Amino acid sequence: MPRSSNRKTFASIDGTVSSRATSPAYAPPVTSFTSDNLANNNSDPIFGPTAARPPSLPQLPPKRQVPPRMGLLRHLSGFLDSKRDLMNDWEIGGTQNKWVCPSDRHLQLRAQLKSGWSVRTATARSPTNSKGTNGTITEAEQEHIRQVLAKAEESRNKEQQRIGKMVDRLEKMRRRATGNGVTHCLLCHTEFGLLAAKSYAAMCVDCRKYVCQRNCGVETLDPQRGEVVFLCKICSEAREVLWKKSGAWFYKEMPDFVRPELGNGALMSPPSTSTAMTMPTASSRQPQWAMNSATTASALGPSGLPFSNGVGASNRRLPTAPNDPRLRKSTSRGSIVATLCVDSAGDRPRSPRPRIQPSWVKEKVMSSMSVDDEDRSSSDGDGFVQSGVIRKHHHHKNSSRREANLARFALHSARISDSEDDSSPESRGSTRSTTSPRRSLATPSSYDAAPTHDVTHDDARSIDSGVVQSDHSNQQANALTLSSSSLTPFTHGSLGGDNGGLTGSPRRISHPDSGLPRVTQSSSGTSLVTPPPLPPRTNSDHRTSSPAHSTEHKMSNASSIASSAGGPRRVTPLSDAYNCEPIRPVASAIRCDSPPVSFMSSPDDDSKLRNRRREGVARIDSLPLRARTFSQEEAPLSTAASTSQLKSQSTLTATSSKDEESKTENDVEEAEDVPPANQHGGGRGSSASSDASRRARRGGVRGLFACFFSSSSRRTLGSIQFNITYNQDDKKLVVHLVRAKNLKAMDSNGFSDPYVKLHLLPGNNKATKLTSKTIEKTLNPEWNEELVYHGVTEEDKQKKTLRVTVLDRDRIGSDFLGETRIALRKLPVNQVKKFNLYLEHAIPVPQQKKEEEETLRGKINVSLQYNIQQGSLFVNVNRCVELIGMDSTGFSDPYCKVSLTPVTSKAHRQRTSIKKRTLNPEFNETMQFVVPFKDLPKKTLQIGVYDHDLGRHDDYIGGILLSTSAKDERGKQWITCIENPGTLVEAWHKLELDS
Amino acid sequence: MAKTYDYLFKLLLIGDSGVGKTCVLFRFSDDSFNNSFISTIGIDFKIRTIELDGKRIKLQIWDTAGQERFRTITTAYYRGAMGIILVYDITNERSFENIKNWIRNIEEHAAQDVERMIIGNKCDIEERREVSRERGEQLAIEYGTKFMETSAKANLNVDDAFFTLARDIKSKMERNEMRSGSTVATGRVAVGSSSQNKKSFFSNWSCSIL
Repeated sequence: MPRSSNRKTFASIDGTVSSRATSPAYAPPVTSFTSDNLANNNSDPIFGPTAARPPSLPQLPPKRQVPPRMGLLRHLSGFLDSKRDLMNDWEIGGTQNKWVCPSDRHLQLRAQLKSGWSVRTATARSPTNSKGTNGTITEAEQEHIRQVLAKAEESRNKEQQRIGKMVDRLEKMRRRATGNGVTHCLLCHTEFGLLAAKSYAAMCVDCRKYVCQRNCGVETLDPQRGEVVFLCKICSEAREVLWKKSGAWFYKEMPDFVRPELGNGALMSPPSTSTAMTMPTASSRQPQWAMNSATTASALGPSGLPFSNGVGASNRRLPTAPNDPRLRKSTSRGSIVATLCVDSAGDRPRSPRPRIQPSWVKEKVMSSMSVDDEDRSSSDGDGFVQSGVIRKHHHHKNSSRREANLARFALHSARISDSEDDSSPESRGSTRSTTSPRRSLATPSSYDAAPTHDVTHDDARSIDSGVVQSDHSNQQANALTLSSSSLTPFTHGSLGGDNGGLTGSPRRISHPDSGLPRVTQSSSGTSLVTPPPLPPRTNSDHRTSSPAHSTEHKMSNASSIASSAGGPRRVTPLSDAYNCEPIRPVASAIRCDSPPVSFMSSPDDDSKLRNRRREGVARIDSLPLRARTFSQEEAPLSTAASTSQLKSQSTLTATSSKDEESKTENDVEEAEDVPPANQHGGGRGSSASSDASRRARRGGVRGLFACFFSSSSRRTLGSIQFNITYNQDDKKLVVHLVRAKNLKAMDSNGFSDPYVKLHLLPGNNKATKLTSKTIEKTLNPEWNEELVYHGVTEEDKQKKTLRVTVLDRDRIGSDFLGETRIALRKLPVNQVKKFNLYLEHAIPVPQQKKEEEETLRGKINVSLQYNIQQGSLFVNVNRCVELIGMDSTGFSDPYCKVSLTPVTSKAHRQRTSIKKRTLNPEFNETMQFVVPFKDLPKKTLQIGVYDHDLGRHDDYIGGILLSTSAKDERGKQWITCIENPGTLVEAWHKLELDS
Repeated sequence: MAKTYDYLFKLLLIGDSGVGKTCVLFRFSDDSFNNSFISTIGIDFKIRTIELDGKRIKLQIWDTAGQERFRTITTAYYRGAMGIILVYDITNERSFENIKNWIRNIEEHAAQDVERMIIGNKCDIEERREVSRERGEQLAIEYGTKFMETSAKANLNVDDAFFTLARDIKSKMERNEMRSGSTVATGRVAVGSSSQNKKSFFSNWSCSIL
């Protein structure tokens, strides 16, 4: 492969001589040098995403016969080469001795060349050169290159240090940010007073913490959402540093960096640990998708990206010796990144800037601090989704699909078990009580799948609900164990753990669940379970994906056998490293609480999800804090095998922050609680440490995702139902708003005051806006309202898109709740088309070109009728639409002047009334022009639309001329009117500036 | 590295031997010019920090040897480059035709979304011109790249070329977030909207009162 590619290069670069280039006589030396040492070392010399800089040049093979002059002439050698090459290229037979002076003929030919020396670039190609040194690189040249590379290396080191410094600073910032981010500013600890809170605090969309709007946060245009978002300083810095400044935006991964040595060895792995030992720290926070890629064991960060094309760091890193400094560096990198990102993990943002309201917020905080926060799961699920720095959709899709896959499996197996029906309602009940009352506000449509949802939901957080935990969880686990083991000849331990976790009895069961795959991995070595990707979401029958499940099952089976054989064991970090991924899908699968049959296939289905999310809004996600705590200790944790160790660490942690204390203690308790729950399974230590590491990982992974690869693919903004009718004859577009469901709660009371705005895009924002009435205090508003666009011509229908935006009415302004768009051209004509669509995040509005805007002045609807009996023309100015705004408000005060020219009587100049402050005035005024029928063809009806201004000249908006010589619709209408006296001829016209 | 910078962009110069890559680079980094031809050995790089839109951008520009015998070394540097400048010599038809091969080479070795640019160097020597400007432009259009004619000797367009490329990379960097995010947006055109500005204005306003 290397060799062939090498040749290929030759061939492709200079096709004309390539045939000679492939001659075996000389090719091998060239390739052997380059392919082995330079071209194929997989690392990138310029950038080198890895620390592993291959010792390429030092290992250059001994050069082959270098003539003395080459050594002397160093830099000129190339010159000479090209000279000689030029010469040799003219020598067809290729027999000429290179030491012989070229013949006169050659010199003459050369002199005729105007093209300079660059004509023949390759020296290695010529057969005559093959015996010489041309193909190789002389020692002097090697030395030169080596120097350059050394220089480059130095510069790269500096760059790494620079990034390291930035990362370090960022981390310090994070460490300093100890405000709770709810009632106090996350960064500066300023308390948000009751009075000031609403306007002063703003939530960072990345980390979901509240910070002072002015000093501790910045507003930036989030190009992803195309809207201005508010970020706390940390998150914005993280975006800048980790994404742009580091070059990660280009390399798709965080490059290496060297942190300034500040004695925080906490992040380093213990010196005794081997490569494998260090991995848990990193891979425990590794995003799931990384495991999807071929580099299963990839230790660090996003190196396993499919598109990193073998740049993947892990390949090179893994084989390195334990004491390799590079490894150390890279390890710290992974963990640091993870640590850094912990805080930026968070819920999906609910709005560009949800506002805080102290009263309930405080209450929520208290509840979330005493008891476990419900939104944990949602934040977990959303962490991936959440707007980080990098958004990579396919990754997310993969992982979420995998989650879904497993979720289905989980649900499936849950259903099989008999005990499920008994236990789950119970657990639901108990957990319900811990949740906020808002939960009971769940949307009506959401209950069909409730049991499974709730169960999974509860377990998803799998942390510290311990306080309210009742025995049933344990019982349930056992019951499940029994029931499922009767299904399959699995070991009790594994299945108990597995299914327990899956069916989601709260808290404890997740231990066995997590403990299990660990053993799997330790026994199976490097093999890794990566559930195959799911069929697309639209697939209605999810059980088709069962092969994946069975694989998973088998794995766990094998592992459990292994574990039971080995008895309680100290789980090696290696296995830990590997197992996190298998766990993760399982654990996260639980979080995917979509109904088993149709996963997000219709808006109604995920209402449950929405509910949970809604709670998430209200409650403050305290997870990041905890996650951070753990991640700072990740190295010890990952190697921890005993509960006591965990406990001591946890206690240590507990002192770090008061807020975290209670939780940490809970964790410890849980860790101690593990054994009974896990009696069948592997070692208790294993589960405890895995739990801890998982927790740490969860924070980290989530952080990484949030920072790097989160996406907004999961739509959770609710759905909207409406019908659209396009009436071709009337040029009317009727939008019948029916209802919306599961909207996001934007107000402190847990509701929103939703209303709908319609726009036709592209078009003037104000002119095409239609607004529905506001339904107060609901997340499932029913508008049942018709909004009508007039004057939507065929042309408009082809071009325009209807934007339906749902907004939350606030006293001042509004909050965005979601939007959706419909291209009008897809609409049937004169038929009602029903829509039931998910709401999406804001999509940027295409800006209209200036010129286009200039030409679009608006439209006018006019009907003409000539009444022979009365001998007069009746002109009905019905309405105008999409007029341009002439006043500073963006609106106009339009009226129409209508005149029948040439004017023969005073009554031939008339005007309509003035409609105040509108761009879509409805005049519906009829004017009578007394005019003989025979004069009509000679006349021109002139209609001008003006903007009425006080104290100034009225602005001319646009106008039309109707006459027999007028073009298009205008002439047609006029002629039709004349030809058919007595009939009403109605038409829409575009207003023009110069008429 | 006393000088600080915000972003580091890595650029690469490629093209046939003798087209003036090194001269262009020296002109850009040192503002110097040397008439004699010294073939580049393997690779070299120069650094210059420029400022774009208030951001300091450090350009690390890799200069490659055009000679075939260094090809394997130089191609190893393609992958890390965020921008690649393809240089040909307007007085040398052959070097122009080879641009196609160089582009193929890029496609083979460089990162997929690398920013490219074609430069016709030595445009001060009008009398020996073999490749018309139009042909250069045509080629650039064909490959969807920017095009410029430069002269390192006369210092024509050299800075422009690098600045243009840096700007392109920078805007790509900023766009990058956008594109990955709006993939679900069913291919709608994404242009910044101003509708949200009003809200932020309000919040700032109330903030300043307090």
